[in-house]
Order: sequence, then C-alpha cells, then structure tokens
Amino acid sequence: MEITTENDRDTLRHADLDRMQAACDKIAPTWPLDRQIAVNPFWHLRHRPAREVSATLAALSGASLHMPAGFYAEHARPEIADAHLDHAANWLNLDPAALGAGDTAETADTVWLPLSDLVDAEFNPGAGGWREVIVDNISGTCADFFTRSDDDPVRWQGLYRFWLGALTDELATGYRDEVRGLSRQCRRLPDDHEALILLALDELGVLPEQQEHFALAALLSVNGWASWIAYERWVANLAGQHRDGMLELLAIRLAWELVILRATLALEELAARRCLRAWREQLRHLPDRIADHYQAQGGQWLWQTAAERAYQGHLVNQIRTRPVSVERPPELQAVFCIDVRSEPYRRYLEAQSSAVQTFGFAGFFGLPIDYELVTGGARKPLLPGLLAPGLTAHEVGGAALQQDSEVAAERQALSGNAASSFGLVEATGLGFAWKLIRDAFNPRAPRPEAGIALAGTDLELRRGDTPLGDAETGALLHGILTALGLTGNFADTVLIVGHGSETSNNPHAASLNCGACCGSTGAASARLLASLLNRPALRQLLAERGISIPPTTSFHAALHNTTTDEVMVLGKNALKPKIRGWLDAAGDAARLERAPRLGIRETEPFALLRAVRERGRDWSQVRPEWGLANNAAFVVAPRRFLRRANLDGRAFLHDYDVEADTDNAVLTTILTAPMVVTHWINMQYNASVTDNRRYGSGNKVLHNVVGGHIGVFEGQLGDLRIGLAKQSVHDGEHWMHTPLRLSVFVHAPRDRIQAIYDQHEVVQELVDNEWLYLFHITDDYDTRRLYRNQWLAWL
Amino acid sequence: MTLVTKAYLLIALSPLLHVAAAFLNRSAPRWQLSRNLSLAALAAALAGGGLLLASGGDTVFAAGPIAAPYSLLISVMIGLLGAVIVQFSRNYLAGEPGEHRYLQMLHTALAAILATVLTDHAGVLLFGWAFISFALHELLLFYSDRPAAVMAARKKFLMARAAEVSLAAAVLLLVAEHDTWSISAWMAHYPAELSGTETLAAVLVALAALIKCAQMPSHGWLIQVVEAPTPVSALLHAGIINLGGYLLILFGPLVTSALSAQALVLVIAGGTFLAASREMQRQPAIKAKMAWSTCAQMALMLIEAALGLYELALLHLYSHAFYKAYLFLRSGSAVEQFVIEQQAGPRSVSVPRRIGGMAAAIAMVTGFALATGSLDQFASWLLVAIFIGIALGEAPLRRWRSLLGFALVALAAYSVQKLALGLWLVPEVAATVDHQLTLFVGGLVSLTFLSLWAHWFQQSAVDARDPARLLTFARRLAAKADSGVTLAVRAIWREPRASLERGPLPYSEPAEAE
Repeated sequence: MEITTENDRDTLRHADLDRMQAACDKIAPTWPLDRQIAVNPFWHLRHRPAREVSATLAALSGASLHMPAGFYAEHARPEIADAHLDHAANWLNLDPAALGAGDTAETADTVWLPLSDLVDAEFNPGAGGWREVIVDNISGTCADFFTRSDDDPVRWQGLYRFWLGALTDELATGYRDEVRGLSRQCRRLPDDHEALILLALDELGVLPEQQEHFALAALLSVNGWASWIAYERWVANLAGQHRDGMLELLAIRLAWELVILRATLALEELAARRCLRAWREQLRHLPDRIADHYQAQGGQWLWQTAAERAYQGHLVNQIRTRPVSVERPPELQAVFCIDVRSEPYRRYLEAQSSAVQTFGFAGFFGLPIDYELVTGGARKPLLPGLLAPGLTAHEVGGAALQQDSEVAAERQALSGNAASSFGLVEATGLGFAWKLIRDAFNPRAPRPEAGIALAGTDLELRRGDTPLGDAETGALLHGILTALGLTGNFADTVLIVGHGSETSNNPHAASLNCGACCGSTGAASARLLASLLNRPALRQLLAERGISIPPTTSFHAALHNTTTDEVMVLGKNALKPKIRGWLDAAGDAARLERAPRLGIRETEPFALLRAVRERGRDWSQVRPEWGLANNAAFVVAPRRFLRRANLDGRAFLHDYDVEADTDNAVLTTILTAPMVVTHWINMQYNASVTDNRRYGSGNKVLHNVVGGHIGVFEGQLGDLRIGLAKQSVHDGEHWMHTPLRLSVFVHAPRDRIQAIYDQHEVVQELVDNEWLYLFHITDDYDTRRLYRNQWLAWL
Repeated sequence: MTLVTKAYLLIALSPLLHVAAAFLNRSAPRWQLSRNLSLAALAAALAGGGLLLASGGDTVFAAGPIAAPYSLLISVMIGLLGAVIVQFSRNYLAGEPGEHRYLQMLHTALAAILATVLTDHAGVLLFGWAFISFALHELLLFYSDRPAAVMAARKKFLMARAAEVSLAAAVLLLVAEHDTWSISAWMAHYPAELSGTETLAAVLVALAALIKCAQMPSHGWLIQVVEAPTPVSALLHAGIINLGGYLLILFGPLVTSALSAQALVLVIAGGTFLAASREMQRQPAIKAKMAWSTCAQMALMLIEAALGLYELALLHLYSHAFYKAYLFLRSGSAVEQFVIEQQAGPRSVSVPRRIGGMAAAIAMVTGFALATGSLDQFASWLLVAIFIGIALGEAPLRRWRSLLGFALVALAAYSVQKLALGLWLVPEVAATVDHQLTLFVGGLVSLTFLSLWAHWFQQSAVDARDPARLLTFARRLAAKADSGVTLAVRAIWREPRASLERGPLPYSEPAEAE
C-alpha cells in the first residue's frame, strides 16, 4: 500500500499497536504468594482449541501442554485399554499408528528463536548467551520496580522509563563489554515505549500478520513477570480501574532486540544482515512450524485423550453405587469445601453413622468478604480470584493478634535496617543458637494462619466501615442456605467446615490452603457464617423468608486441617462427645488412606497422627502434603447420588439439587464460578507437571522469595517463577499428579445445562475448545458429553 | 592417660567423626547415621573443650596442638551448625539426585573447618583452608547443570585460590623467619617492631582475610552463589566465610603490629561496610538481601579484629553465624512474615518517641559500659545503643516496659559475653592494642554509625532504596570489578556454555528472496 498522508500513517501505526496489545492481553495473571490461588496459565488463550494453543506455544516458546509420549505408555498403560486408544484416535481423526510419531516432536530447531539468539550463534558461539543476560536484566529491573509501593515516585514514571534509567547505570558497570557500541545504542533509545515498539517493528521488519505471534513470543520469554503485570491488571479491573504495564514490558524486550541488532550492524554489517535475513525467514515460516507441531503432537494428544477417556469410565464405575437416602433425621450436618481433599474425609465421616449428612460447597461459603484484623491494616481477601470483595469481616478485639503483628513488623524493620542490624546481631546473636536448636530438633506447631484469628473474638460483617444491616445480612444468608440446599430438616449440630493446611517455612503455603478463600484458610469465613446463623434476630428474618431453623440447632465453625486430617472446632462451644468421636474416627480413617502416598508406613492411629503432625511443623519439609495433586473431576450432584462412592480424593464435589433450583440460577453460578475455579486448579496442576520450567516454579531447594510476596526466583535471578514447585507434584521418583483435563459431571437435565452453555461464552469456550469435558449424568448413570452444541455419546 | 590427653583426644574426635561420616556416605545417603555422627561430633567438641579448660586453664595452650582457647569455642559453634544443617537437609533435599554426594561433601567441609580452626600447625591450617574450598566448590556445584551456579562457583574458585596463595606466602615467610610451624609460637613474638618480611606477612594475612570474607571488590560470588541449596548457603554464611575473621584474630598480634596491614583492612572493610549495608536495603530478593548483609557484617567483624577488639570480633563471629544460619534456613518464612507485617496496620512514626528511645538506650548502654569498665570502646556500645534506640523508637509506648526489660537482658548477656571473652579467651592479645588508634578509628566508626542512624531517622518508612551518589559510585566500581572477574572466568574456562535449549541455527542462509 502506498502511504500518502500523515493520517494514513497514524492509522497504520495504531493498528500495529493494537496487534501488540492483543498479544499483551493473552498473558494470564499469577497471584502473589500470600494469595496464591491456582490459575490456568492459558486462560486468555481459551478461545482457541487446546490442541492449537499447544502447537502455537510449542513453536513460540517451546512450552509443552502434554506429557512426552513415553510417559503415558509407561505410567498409565494398565488403565488405558486399547479400546480407549481407538476411541481417542477416532475422536482426533488420527491413525493409532501416530502413537509413536510424537517422540521427535520437540527438538530445539522447531522453536522460534529471537534475533538475539541468532546473533549469539553467529558471533559468540560458546560465550555467555544473550538469552540469560536479557532475562536477568529484565527480571532484576522488574523486581526492583514492582516491589516498590504505589506511592513511590519511581512507579509513576512507568516500567519502561525506569528500565531505561537503570540501564544507563548497568552499562556504566561494563555490562557485556565485548559488544562495542552497545552503550551508545542504548542511549539512543526513545523514551516512550510505544515509539520504541514501532521503531523495533520497522527495523526488524515484522509484517503486520506476523506481529501478534512475534509479540507473544517476546512476552513468553519473560512470562513470569508478564504474568505479574497481568495480575496487577486483573486486580485493577476488578476494582473498576485501568492499569496495564504489559506494553511497557514488551517494549523493553523489543528494545533489547533492537540494540543488539543495531550494535552488531555497526560492528559487522554483513554478518548482521545474514542473521536478520535468517530471522525474518524464520518468522515467515512460523505458521508452518506451528502446523508441524500440531501434526507432531498428535500422538501425545491421542494418549492424553485416551487417558482422560479411561479415567472418565473409571469414575462413572466408582459412582455406580446404590444411592442412599438418609431416612432417619440427621444428628450432624457438616458443610465442607468442594476441595478434592474433603472427599475422603466426608466419605469416612458419613461412614460413622447414617445420621451424618455432609454437603459440598465452595469454601468461602458464598460470603464475598475480605478480612480486617485492625482498622487501617491490610485486608486479606477471602473469596475466589474471579470476584471483588463487597463486604468486610472485621475482627472485633483482635488486639492480641495485632500485637503479634506489630512485634513481627518491628523485628523485621530492625534486622532489615542498616542502622540497627549490626547491633541486633551483637546483642542478640546467641539467642539464634537456641532458635536453631529448637527448630531443628523440637519444632513447635506453626501458627494455623498468619494474621487471622481462629477463635476467641467476634467477627463483624461490614460494608465499608459500617456494620451491615440485619435485613441485608438476612438476604445474604438466605441466598447462601438456598444455594447450599440446606433449607430444612436441620440437625441439632451443623458444622461449617473451612479448610487449611499446616506447613512451616513454606513460601507456597497459600497454594495448599483454600483456593476459594484466595489462599487463606476457610476459618474466618466459617466463623462468620456460623456466628451469623446462630443469631436469633437473623434466624427470625430467615424464618420470614421461609427457612426456619429450630432453636435446638446450633451452628459451629470448624477447620479441616488437610495436612493432618484433623477437624478442629473454632470457638467456645464444645461438641457432643459422640460427634467429636465421629470426627476423630473419620480423621483416623482418612489419614490411613492418605498415608501411603506420603510415604508414611505407620498404621497405628496415634503414631500416624504424630507422624503427619511432625510433617506439618517441620521447617525443612518440602512435601508437607500433596495438596490437590491428582485432581481430575468435578461432580455436581446431590450427595445421595454419591454417598457410597469412593472417588480416591480426585474429585471436587459440589452439592446440587435440581428440584430446588427452580430458575436455574444456582446451576448457572456453579458452572460459571466454581467450575472455572476447579478448571484453574486443574490446569495449574497439569501445566506444573507437563512443563514445570515454564509454568511451574521449579526446585524448592533453590527458592528465593522476591519482595516478600510477589513470587520466587529459582536461585539468584532468572525470570519470576509461577505455578507449583516441582516438589509439590513430584515425590523424587514419580509425578504425584497425572495431568488430565477436568471432567465435569452434572446431575441435571440436558436442557438446563444447555441453557447455561448457550448464554455464557466462557462455558462455550471451555467446552468447545476442549479445555475441559462437560457431561450430564442421570440417576441410572447414563452420560452424554456436551461438545459444540451437541450431546455426544462418549462413554 | 592424663586428663589433658583425654581432652585432646575428644577434641580430635570431632573432625574425625565428620571424616567417618563422609566416608560412610560415599555410595548411598545414610541420613540417620549422618545425623547421629554430627551430634556426636558436637558432643565431643563440647566435652573435650570443657575438659581441657577445666583441667589446665591458660597454661595448656602455650605448647599444645590447639591454636587458642577461642578455637574451642568456634569448634563448638561449627559442631552445632553441622548438626542443625544435616538435620535440616534430610527432609529438605529428599528426592534430589545426588544426596550421598551432598552428604559426603558437607561432612568433608565440616571436618576441614574443624581441623582448620583447631590446629596450631600452620601447615595443617593451610591444608585445611584449601580443603574447605574444594569441598565447598562441590557443594556449590550441586546443580552443575545451572549455568549461573557454575559461573558463581568458578568466581569463588578464583577468589579462594587468591586467598590461599596469599595465606601460603605469609605462612612461608613466617616459617622462614621463626623456623617453626607453630602459630602460637610465632605470635608469642608479637607485638614487636616488624621487619620488612614480617610486615609483608602481616599484609598478606590481612589480604587473605579480606578475600575470604568477600570484601569488595571480591564480593561478587557471594551474592551469586544462592544457586546452591539453602542449607549450603547457611553453612557458607555461618561457618566458612567468617574464617577470615578467625584468621585475623589468630594472627592479631602480628597484624596489629603492622599499621599497613591494619590500614588495608580498615579501608577495604570500611568501604565495604558502608556500601554493602546500603546495598542490603535495596535488594528485592530475600537471599540477595541476606548475602549483602553478610558482606557488611563481615566487614564490621574485620574492622573490630583489625583494631584489636578481639573479644568483639569473636562475639560478632559466632553471633552472626547463628543469626545468619537461622535466617537462611528460615528464608521460606518470608511470605508469612510479610503477611503478618501487612496485618499490623500502618506504623506510627513519632519523632519525640524516637528521640526518647535513643536517649533511654544511650543511658542504659552508658550504665553497662561504666559497669564493665569499657567506656573507651564507645563505638561498639554505640552500635548496641542504636539497635535498642530504634527498637524503642519503633514501638508504641505501651510496649516499652517489656522492651526495656528485653533490652536489659540483652545488654547483660552482651556485657557478660564481652567480659568473659575478653578476660578468658583472648587475655594477652588484648593487651597489645594501640589505644590511640582504637580511639581515633572508634571515633570515625561512631560517626559512621550515627550517620546510619540519622539516615534511618529522617525516613518515614524504613525503606529508601535509592542510594546516595557517592555510594552509587562505589557500587559501580565494585560491579565493574565483579564483571572483570566474570571475564576472567570466561577466559579461563573456555568450554562451551551449558545451554538450556540451544540447537544449531534453525535456518541456513536462505536463498536470496526475489
């Protein structure tokens, strides 16, 4: 096209930047360590089929969304029958002979390489590579930038300008001296990030149709920090604001390409032009490379699909038990989180007596709150990452805890400060010898959760700074009880059971806590809900709305310790001895079931309890528990349907009674919120296994916490690491999580599910692009799979 | 067998038990055995040391095989660190490939450190000194597939060799001078007017200590070796890097006789102290923060030793060892700490409270200084006063009562340690100090501490990361030196880089497109 006017040029430039922005929008967020909830790292790529995304990412960054072919053949073969392989081959339109073909797929020469890598290969074979230099530089700059508070003037200038300023400083220290003229090139960079991007596109010669892939590949090379920026963007969006530094990060990455190109051009023009030509050629062939990967990965997807098909069959067999309806009135009702770790415990608790009823519900129990210890202190969100808190649970009289926090904060200030840390060492150093001995040989139990009270005080529900009125609270409670299916037939004792892990010295502790509570335990939510439901005034309001709670019923908050499988009651009122006995017996049985996976050989209940407790408080333990490893299914059904089924702790369980859900609102919520959350968890575990280097955080033994909570480096520097550590999914010999895409089974009529699918794009995307499987299941175990608007006979 | 012989045998048992543990782990990891042997080594050091001190007091050291009374103290410290680190590593490294290799090298390093700090024979000292570096090198390369780990270990390798050459030269000079290999026999000659050879030896010892303690500009590797497992960092920061301080104390009478050696340490460590303590504050990553902190803490320890304040240097040596070992092993708790701090709410800053806190601290500290008769060491007291003053200044008034109680206990413990170390472990060397120099430098050091305090005072938050211009200059200079070391490493080890995912060029030169 002939460019004639300034206007035309502007329009074109805008289009360029729009394409860059489109790539920026494809990076999924990562939550900080203190709120580490699971995220599907491919969330913003969900509008494309999973297999396509897999091929694209393999070509752009070398990422892997599936296991190597050998894994399935070796580890899953007994379960995967030939029939499953045939089924998968048929589904994927592949010849089963393709099974072996995938082996050679991922050789380095099919991964897209940035120009800086080609320059390396041409000029500096064997020397320190640009790749590490660039990643370290960007990562160091980002760490310095993002650990500053929002009111630090440094943050106002934006990431790109900050980087530019810091670069001058680094260059002065003789950074990569061997490329002469690098500093001069760096000084000539424009100080506006958009101008730089346009300049880089021009000089590198990236065609419009190549731009999005090009930009995405550049961002994926610093995916960790890109994910952090995406988090800041996400949080701002939830708060209705706009904040997006992604384009600036992209500009920095492109600036490196640009200065390396310019410097080498100035140094040795012919060779530099050769590199540039080879690089452009590579870019031109990128679509072919993606197609190659798509082809080559067929075998692995065949295995993957067959493994999922095999598990789905197995799961339906597990469910195929005689449903039980509880005839006699319940004596104990207990509400648990949908978390997969609740499943074994609930199963054993129900086995204690037919007078026990359990429920599965997202562990924040529908309370959209954050938690505030003292007025003015930081607030901890206690709800899924998809939502913004509307209400606050304020601790009335959290003074003791506050004092703890103050002391800890001061202690930190003393040892981190140049003026006081020397005197601190000399005056109190000997005390640390005692701490070393204590923590190594006789550790104390860790505090259940940093900064949240477990009992002893009252929580007040507030909006802003004023207490929430009874009428509103009553409406909220009514909604929660309806969604729970707990609207009548109340037992005398109703337990609201949140869950949390017990782990010491673990930067990723939050990832073992409740994902629905934003990485906190469910303790505060459970306490709040139980106390509200015990208030006579609110019960009165509930009765007016048709839910009458008998005066004999009392609600208790409890905490399920997922490391030790103990259930602790929070608050003053003790349980009846019989009920306490049930809880303890269920814990004994659940521990026994989970012990072998932890490598604990004890079978005697007390010794076993001691063993798991020791594990939780051990400051050197990198595998306190297996978390949600091996999760594979999400079952939305009434409990009677599943009561006798043993699902091996692999399924998220959400109670749902289609009869009570007259307007389909409850199911809509389930399929658009808890289903998304479980999908995120599932994909986080999958990606941390299939590609721990890019989507997992690597080796715990090397972890180095950045900025107190932002994330970890593995070792000194390198990109910010996201996802789960290798130790969280691997026991040293085997993967403890088998990557299977989530299978969602919904016990509801097809038209109910279809209606939600039709209305909600996100459900369509997840189902149609095969990020998860959505089945409906009937009382006689008939299943159909929803896919591209059809109900397929799948199992 | 006399009591003294029994004591020596017990003490010798402590490195030998680590040698045995290293041997027994040669093919498969035997954690339980390692743990028990480490505890036994600690017990042997404790029992032997106690027995020796009980049996003979000061006289036994004059001709014995052990360098000095404080050698026993340091060997107990190493024994404790060894036992804790072995215990910690057991679950921490579970499932990592090469556990037995790790244990083997860990025990080797511990045995070598124990031998080095205990011996009075300069040859054994040299040999042990070198052996520590070799064992540490293997530990730093536990993940030898990580390019950054390899680079850092090689930098450390170069620095270690430089320190060894320096120390070996000093030792040879002194052997030639005195015709014996006994360090305590050498030191019996000092303080004295030094010959040219002796002055050179003193400077070389000072140089070895500075390099060993990673003082600028030889500090680069220390910051970069966090590529090794956390317990290796704990061992390095608590049990190895401070040996430079031990060296300076051991050779104290010689070094304090040579103004040039003293000046070398004071200038280099002084500069490092200032730059590293500020650098520490601006590090976003916890392990980098701790590494810079070690750099600064070692600087302070070296300054104390060079001024002849041996009991303080010794106190600093083991206090920092326990402190930093704990901080490294606890580094996973950073997130929990962060959350707790956030919950605390905004901290109230009150200028009168800060001034009041400082005044109270100075009053208390002066009392203790007068009571222990060491007011002339005002700089060291000021250091503690600033710590207590800031602790009070940061805390709300309602907590002052408990804080003042804590401060009294801490000051009492500090005074007792200082007195005991001064009277008992380093009696004769302490008398050799040049008081005028100490007072003069002490004044300078006090001004430095006060400026640090003033800097803290004018901040509302204890987090100002952009350093002053002068320090930026020092930083650049140090970084420049470090990149020089990097280039040297590249020049020496020319093998191809272990690349993560680099193949041949994806495309050969394409035919000229039309």
